[in-house]
Amino acid sequence: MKPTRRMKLSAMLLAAALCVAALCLCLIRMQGALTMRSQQENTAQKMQMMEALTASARETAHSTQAMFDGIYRSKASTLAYLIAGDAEQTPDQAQMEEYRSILNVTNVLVIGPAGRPLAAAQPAHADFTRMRYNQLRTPFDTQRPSEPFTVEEEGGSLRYYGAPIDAQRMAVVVLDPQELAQLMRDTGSWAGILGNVRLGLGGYAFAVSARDYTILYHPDEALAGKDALAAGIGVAQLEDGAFDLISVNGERFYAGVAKVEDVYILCAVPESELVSSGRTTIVLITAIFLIVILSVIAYAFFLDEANAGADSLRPIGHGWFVNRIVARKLLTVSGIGLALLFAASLYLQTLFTLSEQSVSNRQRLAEVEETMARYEADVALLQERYNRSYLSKAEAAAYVLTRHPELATRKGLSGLCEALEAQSVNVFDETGTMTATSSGYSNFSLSYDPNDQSYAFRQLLQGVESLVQPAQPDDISGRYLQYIGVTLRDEDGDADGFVQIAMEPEQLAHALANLNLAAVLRGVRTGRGGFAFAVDKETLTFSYHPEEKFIGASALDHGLTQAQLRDGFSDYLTLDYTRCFAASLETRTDILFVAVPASALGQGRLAVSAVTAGIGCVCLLLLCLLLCVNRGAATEEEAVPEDNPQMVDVHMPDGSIKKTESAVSRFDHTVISWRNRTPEQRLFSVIGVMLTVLAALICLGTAVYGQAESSVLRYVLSGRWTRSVNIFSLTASLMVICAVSVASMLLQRLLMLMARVFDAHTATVCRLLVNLVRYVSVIAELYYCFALFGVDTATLLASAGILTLVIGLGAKELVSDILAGLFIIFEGEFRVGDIVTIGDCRGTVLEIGVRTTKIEIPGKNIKIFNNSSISGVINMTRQHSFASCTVGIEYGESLERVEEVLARELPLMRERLPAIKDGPFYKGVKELGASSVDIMILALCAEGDRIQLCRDLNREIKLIFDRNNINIPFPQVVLNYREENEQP
Amino acid sequence: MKRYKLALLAGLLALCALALGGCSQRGGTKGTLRVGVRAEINNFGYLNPETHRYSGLEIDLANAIAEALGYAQAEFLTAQPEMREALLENGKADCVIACFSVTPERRERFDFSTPYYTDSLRVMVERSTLLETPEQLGGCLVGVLRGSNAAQQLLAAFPGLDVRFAELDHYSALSNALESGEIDAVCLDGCIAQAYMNDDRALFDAIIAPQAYAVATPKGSPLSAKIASAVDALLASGELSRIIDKWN
Repeated sequence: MKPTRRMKLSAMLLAAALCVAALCLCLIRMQGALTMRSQQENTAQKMQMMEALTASARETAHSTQAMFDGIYRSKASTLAYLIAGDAEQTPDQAQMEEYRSILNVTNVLVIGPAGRPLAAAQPAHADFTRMRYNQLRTPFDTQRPSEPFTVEEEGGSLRYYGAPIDAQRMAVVVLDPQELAQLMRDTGSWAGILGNVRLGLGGYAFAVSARDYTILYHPDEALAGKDALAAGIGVAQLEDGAFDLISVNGERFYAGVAKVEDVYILCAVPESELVSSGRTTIVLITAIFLIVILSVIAYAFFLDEANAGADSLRPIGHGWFVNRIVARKLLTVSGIGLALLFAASLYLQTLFTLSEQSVSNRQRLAEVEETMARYEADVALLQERYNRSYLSKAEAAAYVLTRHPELATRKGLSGLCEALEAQSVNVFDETGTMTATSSGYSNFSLSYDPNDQSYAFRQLLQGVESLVQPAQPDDISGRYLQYIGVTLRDEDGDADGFVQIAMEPEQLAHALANLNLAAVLRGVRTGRGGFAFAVDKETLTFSYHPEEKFIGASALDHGLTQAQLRDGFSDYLTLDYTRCFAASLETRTDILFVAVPASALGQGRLAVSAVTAGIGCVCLLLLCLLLCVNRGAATEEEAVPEDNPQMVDVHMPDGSIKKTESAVSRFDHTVISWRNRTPEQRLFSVIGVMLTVLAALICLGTAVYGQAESSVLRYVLSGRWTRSVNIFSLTASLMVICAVSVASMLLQRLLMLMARVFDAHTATVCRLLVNLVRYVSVIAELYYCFALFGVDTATLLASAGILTLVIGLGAKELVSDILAGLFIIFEGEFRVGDIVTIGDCRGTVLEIGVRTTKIEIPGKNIKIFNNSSISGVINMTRQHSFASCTVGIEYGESLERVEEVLARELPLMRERLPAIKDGPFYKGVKELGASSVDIMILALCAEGDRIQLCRDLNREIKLIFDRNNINIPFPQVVLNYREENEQP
Repeated sequence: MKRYKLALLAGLLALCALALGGCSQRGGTKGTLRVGVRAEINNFGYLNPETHRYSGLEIDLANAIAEALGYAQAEFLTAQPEMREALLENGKADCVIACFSVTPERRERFDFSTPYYTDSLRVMVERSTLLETPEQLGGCLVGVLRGSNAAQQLLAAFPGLDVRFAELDHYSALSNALESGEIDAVCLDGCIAQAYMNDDRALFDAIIAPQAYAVATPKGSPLSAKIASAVDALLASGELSRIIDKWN
């Protein structure tokens, strides 16, 4: 390489580096801005959800507390009823202790109007006369139970419930509210609210107190309770509605802040996640751009080396020239490269956007699943709690009735019913017949039918202590009621009947309503304009949709298909003329979907791609300009590539002359030496190497970073997308094809190497194997890709039999032509421009079609073969053919003289016949004929010239022989005329 | 061997640097502004027990003043309410920014800058007492911090109110007594009341004796005028309201 050229190459490489850097920087900027914007939108949505979530959690906590207080308030009322029932005198300590144990509370007291204790189960430390207990003493004024409150003390905290007995006394139930605290922790705590919140892939929500900046909740338990300021969060960043980069314990997050009540809720996504999602795209696009730019530069230099278009220099002044042919070629390559760049950019952006959305959809679904599971657990817990409290009421009723059997009248039971806040109280005797009730239904006895609701209570008569029946619609009234029974015993402790109370579980019904799918789905947001909907599995109607009008409508009528209504769907679907990207999850009764309108996805995708292409365009134009402008005509005469047997000039159908690889070389899989390659061949080799390196890097990247949860490649490889024609199956197909092709190529290379090294037999086997590997890999790729694209390959295989039948019946010829055509191309028997002999027809291949092959035969006629009829092809595309000429001389002629003449004349003949590449050579005596000695003359020429050259050789030999008085024997006929009158 | 020498050299250099740093800190008292601040009031002056770092509005203010006066840094001393005056008088602190309210008596003993924050006394009660207005406090026992003028201010604001006062040593003791019911109400500074609020407690709407917090310096200190003008500049530039915003 000349120094000037080397300098130019370095300059070009520098320019390329600058271009790539510029593109890279620009992409980082744009991608960064884009990611930030979309993340901000997502986070903002999440925060709206947070507010709703907090409000609903607050409501739940509130109703939980109300429920809890309801239970104990009614215990206070029961206590008041029990004490009132014991007549005027205040019960003693033992009596109070008994009450305490029935009610299962920490302490029970009776206090006077000023707060003076009159009786207590346990000594009370608190001074109820203080203002602090004003609220407890309200029953004296209102004659209603007091609002409960908690007093924290050093020994622990106590919660007070009061109920009036009479004007001078009131009952107080004291409770250690540990259970309540636990309940509140479960339902209303920040861990309960924020624990299930996920943002992006590794993001989460945490809470910071606005009062003293302690971290109230953080997924990392070590951080909970710590000072947020010490953890690295700035006070200035903690403002309602702010979005900022914050650092928590050294890790940086992109976070949004919402202030709810006295707490800042932060929704944070690791910065690394934001960066990494864009980084892969940027790296890949930059790599592709690098390949394009390097290809263009390399091509320019290869063209320059081949001295292409040296005669088409056009001066542009000041001694500068522009090479038009090179310019045209470079621009073509650049154009193709740009189109590729744009397509790749768009493709990658789409891939990454969709895979991220897909993962996020899945997360939303997982959240919904978790929420529903949590609700169910909550309801179970609630039910259990209610059962316990109801049982204690029933026990209280049993206690009262055992001590005061005279209360078992309608009036007495009504009072008891009121104190217990029950719907009704019933007393049954030992035969299972109702003896008294507070309700209007009398004359009831337990059923003997196991299917009846009341049958279960018979076991109470057989000694079972108590029974809590699940809530169900009442047999008689149809109301949603829960029955609880406790056995009554006589003095000997034998069961002599039972008391049954009916409760209306309002709170439970409320909780069940909360479990409603709609309540859960309403809060789900994903992406811009995203929403959730549910389709009933049985009826295939919408069981929930944000728009009321859809609910109850058939899903199939609104654009969904049967195939989409299944678990694990993740693809585009059309819902009411809107294309959405959705994911699904199957629950017991419904299929849940979260969907984002397609229009909201990947906004700015096109812009980024266009900018990429724009920058690429400018850079490439600049480079092309630099590359095809030269100072001074290219006077330096490069060594013209020597004649090599592997490359042959062929006349293409359009009249141009192109270089092609000779058939021998092609069939032989020999590698053409670099010197002998055309610039295009060199370019392809260079691109091939670069692509291989890129593929290897991608494989390496997948291996190293692919395990990361956030990796798109991981998502594509996981195969959790829907099998249909979509970007993921396309990507997976590309990956499979790349991998299989590389593997098969390596295997083929190895086999060819073996073929070359070992003996002929091995070589034959190896060549066969190479062929086999090639077909198997292609078929495997096709089969696998079809499977990825959602084609039912098993059916495809099964239906191969039907296919055969069809072929056998009608389209046999057509199919065999097509197959034969494919085989010709696959095996490379010949290609366009080759000179071949098929049967007895010799000509140049014009076109290999799917069904036919066109060959130009001498006389510029075109002969068309059906591909299936092509057999016994002789491919004569090679460097040299031999034109031969056989000529006879007389036996009488001196062979030495003839040889001497030929030795003199033949070199001269070469000058006259330019088609001769080498020779002509005298090749000795071919045959001692009947009347002539036949000698042979051979000349080396191109296959295209061979036939004409044969004729020219014949002519020349004849002329030479004539000049040198060498006779060519020919059959001579001696005619004898018979004399007419000559008689024998 | 070479590596050892290098390490030795690096160690020596580090020692020198430390020594120099120490010299400059100790030698130049002018390099640090010693500020007495609160250690237990969130958002004003709070000493994190784990990191031993102060944070809050008054800390930011102190840093801003130190910067304005050309000090390298501000050094913080914990100033409990009863220690604030002593810190200034015995010269341990250059100034006090510790919820120190301006009163005529204090004006005679100390120099004050323009007030940077206005707070007031608030009355806090447990909701279960069913008290809603200060007028209902008749006959109640009201807790105040020992040494504070809250009792006088409350009586001045509601003359004729029949209340008894209990003086306790710490805010936490006041809070505990309020919880157990030993006292019926607490009268204390608004900013501190916020720190002891919870869902079961209420603050009366009444704002009693608004008091202005200002930076205090020893009487006649050469720093008085400089600090006062620095505070004025912070006020004028809006920096101060930005700091207050930040901590609200």
